Amino acid sequence: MTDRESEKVGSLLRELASGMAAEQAPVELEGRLLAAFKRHRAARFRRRAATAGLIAASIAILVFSARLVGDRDAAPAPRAASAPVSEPVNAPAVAAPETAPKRRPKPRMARTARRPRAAARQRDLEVATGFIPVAGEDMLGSLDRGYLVRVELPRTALRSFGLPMNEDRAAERVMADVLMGEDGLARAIRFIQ
Amino acid sequence: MNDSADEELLGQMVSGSEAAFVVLYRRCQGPTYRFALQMTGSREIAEEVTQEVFVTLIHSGGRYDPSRGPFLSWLLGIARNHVLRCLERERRYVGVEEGDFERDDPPEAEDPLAELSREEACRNLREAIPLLPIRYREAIVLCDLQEMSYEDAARTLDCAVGTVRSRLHRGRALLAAKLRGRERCLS
Repeated sequence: MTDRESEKVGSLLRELASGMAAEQAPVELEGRLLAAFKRHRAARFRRRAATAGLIAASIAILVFSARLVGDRDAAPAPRAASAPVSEPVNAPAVAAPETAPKRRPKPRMARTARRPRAAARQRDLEVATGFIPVAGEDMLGSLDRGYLVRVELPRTALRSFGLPMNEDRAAERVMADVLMGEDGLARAIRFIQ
Repeated sequence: MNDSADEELLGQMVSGSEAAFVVLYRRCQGPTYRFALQMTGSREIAEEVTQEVFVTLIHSGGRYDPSRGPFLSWLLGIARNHVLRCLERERRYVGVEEGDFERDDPPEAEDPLAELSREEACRNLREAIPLLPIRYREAIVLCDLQEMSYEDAARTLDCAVGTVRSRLHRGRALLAAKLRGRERCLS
């Protein structure tokens, strides 16, 4: 190809590009895609609601079991997997600092004494997302006190909250902290790595 | 919202914003549709590909990683996969081997292309592009027709920048040979 030919082809390609610049997808395609978007959003909302329900049910079972054990031991009801949140919860996108569990000393010191250190070590290794509202940001704003409950969920739950998920690890589980109100309703969730 | 960056709009869309989706669609449907049209030469396939690309975006928009290049490059990468799938399925355009474009003898006139009228040359070029081997066609469409930078085209094609350059050069040479051949037929 000579330089003149190269120049000519380049010029023709530019002309072709400008001639096709006005080409657009058919107008009706936008309507079809918008309908698909709405269907997808509704399905995702249903999935998210189902996940929230699953979380709430898991927590209810956990709390109920803990109370049963507490009643049987005639001791103050333990909050097995939960830690009270003393400060009000602010913006959902900001990762809240993990509050240290304020446990009363128990008689079984030999086993529990090492736990805070282990928990602190584990916390140092953890990376958390920001809190994502589960049931609307309005409910999160009105929360004065609550509990953090650590749960394990299917990794696909990440997708329900709009987070990216590695498809290769879809079968694995992921840890999450659920922020519960005193009324027992899940308000927000953050995922832990 | 109209001034927002693509990445920002995508984030809002993934969170469920219909308005963000509409803005993003209106902004990107043109390049996507034109890319598919220029690759296949078929409006039907171009429409189908555009629809598939945006359905993929609706379902998997969260997979976009900004560190791997601009949003449009990523979107055209999806379009490219759908185009290749469509071409494979339809087998509408049989890839022409490089030899079919080339002639051993040198051009007779100093500038044979000059003898073609501009309009006719443009039409011939438009018809010749979908007949180029796919690897050269992609480079021509992205860099010459979509006016994408070599770096962005390399991201879309998932190859090195040098590969894009060489494919582009080879693609242009094949087009010149094709046009030369047509000019001979006419004369």
